[in-house]
This record gives sequence, C-alpha cells and structure tokens, in this order.
Amino acid sequence: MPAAPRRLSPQTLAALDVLISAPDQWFYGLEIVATTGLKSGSLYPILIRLHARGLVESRWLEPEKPGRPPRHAYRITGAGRAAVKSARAVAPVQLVGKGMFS
Amino acid sequence: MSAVHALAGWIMRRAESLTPPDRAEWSAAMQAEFATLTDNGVALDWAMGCLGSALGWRVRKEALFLVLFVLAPPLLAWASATMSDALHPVSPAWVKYDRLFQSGSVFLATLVLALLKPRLAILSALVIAYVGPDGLISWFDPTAGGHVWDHFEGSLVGFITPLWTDADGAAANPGHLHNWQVTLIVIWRRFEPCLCGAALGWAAAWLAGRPRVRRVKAA
Repeated sequence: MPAAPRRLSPQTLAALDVLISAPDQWFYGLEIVATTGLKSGSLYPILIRLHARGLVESRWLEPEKPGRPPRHAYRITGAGRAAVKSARAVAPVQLVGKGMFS
Repeated sequence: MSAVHALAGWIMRRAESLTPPDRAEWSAAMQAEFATLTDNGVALDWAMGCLGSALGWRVRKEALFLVLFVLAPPLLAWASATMSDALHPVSPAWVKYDRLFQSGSVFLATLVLALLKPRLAILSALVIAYVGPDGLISWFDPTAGGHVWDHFEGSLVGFITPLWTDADGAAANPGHLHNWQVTLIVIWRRFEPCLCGAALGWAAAWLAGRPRVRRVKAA
C-alpha cells in the first residue's frame, strides 16, 4: 500500500502558493518571504523539506549585479502542483469538521 | 556599513560556521540572499532567522551527543549511588570497589562522548570530571572534608579551607601529607579517568576516520 501523503502545514502551503502562482518562474527566497511574510528561519527548513520530497526544484542563478554571489532559486514541480491541489481539496472538509465540533 | 549591518553580517558568519556540512548548500543560499539586502533591520531579521535555522540543524545533527552529554552526570550519579548501596553491606572494602566503579563509569562515559564528538573530547572530559558521579555539590560541601583524610575523596572546599587555616596541614593529617598534596591527589583522581577516556576515545575516532592510503604494487 502506498504511504499516505504528508499533510502540508499552512506555512508550507503559503510558500507553495507563491511558487504555483507562476509555475514556470524561478523564485528567490527573499521573494517568497516578501509575499508570505515567513521568516528566513521558517522558510529554509520548509524549502529543504519540499525539495527532499520532490515538490520543489532548485538551481543556482547568476547574480544580476557583478560581484554578488549566485543566488539559489526555486520552482514548483508537477508533484508539487498535485500536492497543493490535493491539500486544497482536503482542507475545506477539515475546516468544516473542526468548525462543527469546536 | 552601519553597526546593525555589521552585527547582521557577524550573525550570518556564525550561522555559516554552525551549519552542518550536509546543509552547506542551503547555508550558501541564505548567505546569497543576505548579500542582496540593503535595509539594516531586514538584514538583521534575516540573519537571526538564518542563525535559528543553523542552530536547529546543528542540534538535530548532534542530538545523540547532546542527549548523552546532558544525561551523563545524572546517570553516573544514579549508577554510583546504586552501586554504593549494593556494595556497602557486602564488603568491608566497599570504598575501594566503589571508587573503582566510579572511575570506570566516568572513563566509559568520556570515551563514548569522545568517540561521538572528538573535537569536544577534552571539554566533555572536564565537564564530566567536574560534575562527576558525586554531583557538583560535592565540590562545595565542606562537611565532606571528614571523608577526605580517610579516602582522599570528597570536597575540594573541605581541602582548600585548611590550606590557609592550618599552617601545618601535615601535622593534623593522618596520612602525613600536606593539604596541598592531598588536594592535588583528589583533583588528579577525579580528572584522570575522564582525561584517559577522552584521550582514548579521541584516538579511536581519529584512527577510524583518518584517510587510508592504498599501496599500489609496482608492475
């Protein structure tokens, strides 16, 4: 039996939402932080987990300004898009359930 | 460059040095983003977050060592107390066996810690020796001085106090040793098994981790 997909936390979903807003685009960490409001200390552990699970791919991009180091950029994968879709399909049901019993 | 930005840069360097090797790429990614920041407040905020991440990675990486390091002194104290209770009614020479057990247990503890983290072998040995199976309290318990003359163990304060209150410690000492001599013996007894364990563990870790040179037979 295949393992059940892990639940995505609201912070993880927020980061994925940024990436899925332009699926073909590469995003820098600072851009994700600026949109989601996540701290760097939360974002990078999330990106590491997503990368390890194959939901996000990464690459080093040459800097826009000379003398600066190359920057790490991130893009959502097909598996990442599917994971967001399934999380969004499950989330409303869970919210209704929580609302009913709380 | 402002003082805040310099502080943020210093924090980023600490974060980089804390990052375990398997996370080096991610540390470089955070450093590269930091290099583009011009706002001091944002840079400091970013640096603090990076330091938190690096610390988390490091703690996770060293979890076994940290748990053992924290648990070793209370576990040693518990083992020593249990052994003393077991030996006391059995043998009149229980003190000798008790001391042997204490030395052996701290030797093993420092050996294991040095194997896990050779770089911190000496620090681990000093901490274990200082806290030891008797617990930190024995260093500061003046009432333990009575045992000292009989067994050369117990309180350091119990030794040191007579160093300046009794001009001729040897006269009052049944072993005819000066107080400073007894003090050195106690310190040595306490630190010796720990330092030996640390040295052996460090050496074993070095031998296990050194690069092997393969000899190629000449054709």
